[in-house]
Amino acid sequence: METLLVTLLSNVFGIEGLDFATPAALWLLFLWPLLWVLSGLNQLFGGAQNDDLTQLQSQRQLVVKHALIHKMQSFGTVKRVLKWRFSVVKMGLNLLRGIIIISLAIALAQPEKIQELAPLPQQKTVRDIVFVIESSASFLLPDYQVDGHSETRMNVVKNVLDQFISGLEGNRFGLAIYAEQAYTLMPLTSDQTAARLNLKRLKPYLAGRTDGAMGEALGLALKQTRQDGQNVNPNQSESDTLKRVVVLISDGLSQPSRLALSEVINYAQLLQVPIYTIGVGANSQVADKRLYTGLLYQALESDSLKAIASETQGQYFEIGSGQDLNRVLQKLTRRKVCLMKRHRDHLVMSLCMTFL
Amino acid sequence: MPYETPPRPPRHVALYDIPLSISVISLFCYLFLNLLLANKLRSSSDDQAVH
Repeated sequence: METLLVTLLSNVFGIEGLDFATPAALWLLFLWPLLWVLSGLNQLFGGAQNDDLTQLQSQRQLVVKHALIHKMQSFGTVKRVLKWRFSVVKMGLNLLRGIIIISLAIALAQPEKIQELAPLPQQKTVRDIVFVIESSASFLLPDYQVDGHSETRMNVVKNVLDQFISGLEGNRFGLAIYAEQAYTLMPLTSDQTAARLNLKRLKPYLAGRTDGAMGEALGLALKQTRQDGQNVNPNQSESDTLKRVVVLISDGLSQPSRLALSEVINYAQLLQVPIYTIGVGANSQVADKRLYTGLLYQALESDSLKAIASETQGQYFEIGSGQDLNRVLQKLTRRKVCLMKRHRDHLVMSLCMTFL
Repeated sequence: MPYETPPRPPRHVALYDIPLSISVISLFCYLFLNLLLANKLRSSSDDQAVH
């Protein structure tokens, strides 16, 4: 019944998406006909004298007794006109009474128009992602197969990162590389073109041959996130933490890191920045099927990467192909959708109750 | 794949002020008309009483 009333009113007012927060109040619409019926019954059984206006009208009727009164035509006309005017005014008052009741009932039902809003264009930074990429000699090893051809670890990582960065507008990216030394290749920027150009500069041997500077590179990356996160605040919210991420892409440690990884982990825990680690390369030496390249084969050493991820609330991923890396990166950027509560205005309720 | 902003909940535009204004205006009209009519009827009956 309420739904029927809502549909009827929506059609009457011609407003699309009209809804009522408290449709139960629409039952008050029937108050007017009810009062009308009661008033009619009252007049029928209780006599017409109950109404104030009727009493007043009867008072003003002049009772004249005269033998020739019927000859006074004009008097009868005046009486008829006055009666007609009185009933018109009375009808107008009834109508006004009805309008008051109906509009109050509708106001109590809290009509509202529901507008569907289009998603906002992305304008502000969604997330700061600092990639720490190993550029040691082991990244020259061609142990990935892309379209039937062997591809070096570095090329696979570069291609996937390039696609990833070009697809994520509104995020900021930073690049840090390490091998024997650690460098910031690019500070955090929301300029995707600059990020992709800098990614092209990435080459093995750029920072040396061995991978002893993993700790330092992670420190540099964490420092970048701290500069933008400003002061270290242990009470920072979960959303702030989710906005800053360090992603380490490496094949593990072939020699101990110069800066102890425990120090890096402590620093990351202090900043509450998760470090996601991505292991690149095959798990065992068996994967080395090259006849001769001049390079010692270095298999993936995942223990250090797992330790970093688990200690910093991050996650460890192992990739067997470029598609795997893409999937992992998409997983890292999954977002939470906030459900907003619907607020209702109770002011109208108190106002209407006052009027009633 | 472009990063999508989360869907926004629909906006509820309150429309209660329209019927509320109508009822307030009608109430004043009703009171005014009632008062006017009662006054007129009373004054005319007073006039008759004088005659």
